[in-house]
Amino acid sequence: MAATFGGIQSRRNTILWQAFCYLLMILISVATVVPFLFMASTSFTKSFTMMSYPPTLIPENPSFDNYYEIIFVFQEGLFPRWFFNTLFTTLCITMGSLFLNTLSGYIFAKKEFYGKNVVFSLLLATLMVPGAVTLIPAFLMVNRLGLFNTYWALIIPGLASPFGIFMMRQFISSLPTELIESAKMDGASELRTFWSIIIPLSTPAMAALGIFTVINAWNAFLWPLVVLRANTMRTLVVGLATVQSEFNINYGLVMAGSVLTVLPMLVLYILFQPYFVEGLRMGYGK
Amino acid sequence: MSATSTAQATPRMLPSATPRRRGWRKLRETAFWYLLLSPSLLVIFGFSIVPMLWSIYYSFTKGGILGKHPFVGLQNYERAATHPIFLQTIQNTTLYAVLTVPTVIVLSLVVSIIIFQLPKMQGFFRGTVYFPLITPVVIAANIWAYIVNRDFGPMNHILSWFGVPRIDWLGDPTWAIPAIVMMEIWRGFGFYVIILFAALQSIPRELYEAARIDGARSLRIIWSITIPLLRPALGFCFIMATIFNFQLFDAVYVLTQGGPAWKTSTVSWYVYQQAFESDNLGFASTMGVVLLIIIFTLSLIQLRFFRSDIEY
Repeated sequence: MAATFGGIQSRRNTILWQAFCYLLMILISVATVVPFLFMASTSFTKSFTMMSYPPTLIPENPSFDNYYEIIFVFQEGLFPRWFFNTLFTTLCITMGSLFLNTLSGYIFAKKEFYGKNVVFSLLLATLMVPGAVTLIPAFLMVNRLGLFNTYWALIIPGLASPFGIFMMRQFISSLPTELIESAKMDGASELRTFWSIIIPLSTPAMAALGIFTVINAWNAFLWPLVVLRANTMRTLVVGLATVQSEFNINYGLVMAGSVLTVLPMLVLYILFQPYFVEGLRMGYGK
Repeated sequence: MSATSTAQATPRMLPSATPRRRGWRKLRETAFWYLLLSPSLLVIFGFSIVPMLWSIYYSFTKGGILGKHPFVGLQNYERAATHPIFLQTIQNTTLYAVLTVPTVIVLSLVVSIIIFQLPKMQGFFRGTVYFPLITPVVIAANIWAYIVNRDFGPMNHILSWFGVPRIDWLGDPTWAIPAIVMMEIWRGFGFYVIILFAALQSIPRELYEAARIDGARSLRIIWSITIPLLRPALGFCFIMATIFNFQLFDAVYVLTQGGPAWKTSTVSWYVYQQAFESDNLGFASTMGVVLLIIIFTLSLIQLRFFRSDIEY
């Protein structure tokens, strides 16, 4: 839909202006995406040096060697293990947090109880607490509970988030309360109402929140870096960040690993694009 | 919690129930809802407010991650106030924010307005500018390290067309912070574009129509209608950008490890370094608490500043 800001302009000026805008946006888009093409290009280059000079986007002798090496040869299958770690924890976090955030969002949206506003404000205030101040005690806590170097250390903190609860609350507030009332009249229990009325109606918001959660969990860095120290327990992102210095491996190999890390998210992003933008709008927008 | 006010407010809803019985029923329901909320609340508070309080306690002690933590009073705070590296990291962190936040907001405001008034391909452009945000910072930073590489990087290559001599972006104390700031802007601006775009969509069309009938020009309309109405969204973007940038960590970890000579070190990075590499728990906690106070104060100031009276 066209939405000019109006103003008094001749038709010719409008067309010129729009052409200029398109050109500018194409330039900005290219500048945003091209760096990733360098990543892809390097991953197909077999060399220990970083790159040829001058920089090129199309490698001279493209090969899949780096991909073969990182998947099958590198540290006897460490990379597939990292992939599994990431996939497994991401799935657990996403399923768990979708359930808990929706349930909590529903309660904050539709139920009346003592202390509701105070607790809700406190939840939002936690967004201001910097990671630097929670990192060490949270690590010590995980350590004391014996969860260091386990999947639990990664999964448990991801099971609920203030942002997720806020977003689901916003969405569920807009659902008609009569639906819940009528379910109650029919004798449905509170949990039954949640399960068979609220969840089906909330699927658009849940899809949006779900994709956010997947991407955040997949890309998390500082927390997994601290709680998963064993080589076999690392996630993809942490593995790629630490492996360069530790094993002194070549750049093409790291880039092949990076492509394999980004690819699943890229596919997801393309498939779920509409939900994604809608989700940002629901969560942050007015 | 505030039990009395709500209980007294609605005593006459059910004629058969006495106020006391209603209060009792609400108390029971409250318990039930808290039971269902408890997993979420435990996870969220357990990994934010509880560790925060713990950090505040540790900031008054000394010692490493394991072992005893003897109480030392304000010693850590006194040390922090004069600690050259810590003061340097505060200065760096502020510099990152001052360079990044206004630039990224102005850039995304301009880009969102441009996309908004395009007749086609709005979705496509929003999709591409947001794309870097779906990649891990670590990978984006790795790519950036290549882009700004002194010898092979495309950045210096392009600059050389204009006769600019090669710059050692990440190794030169003058250029390291700008190099990281550029990466943060490149990776992050799509987020604010999407939010501002959503806010633009929610401005009623009639306002523009009215201005047009009054004979206003496009730029004037943007300046005196659009931007004031975007104030809440802009405020939100400012607060988020400030919070994000004062916590900068990943990019520093990958690109420079705080070097050269602490010139790019942020508070978050130095906290991590002191806690997990120098095993200096007390001092690391103190610096974390100082960061908390800074972020909290800035957020409150910005919340006041951007509070809007305009409803639409």
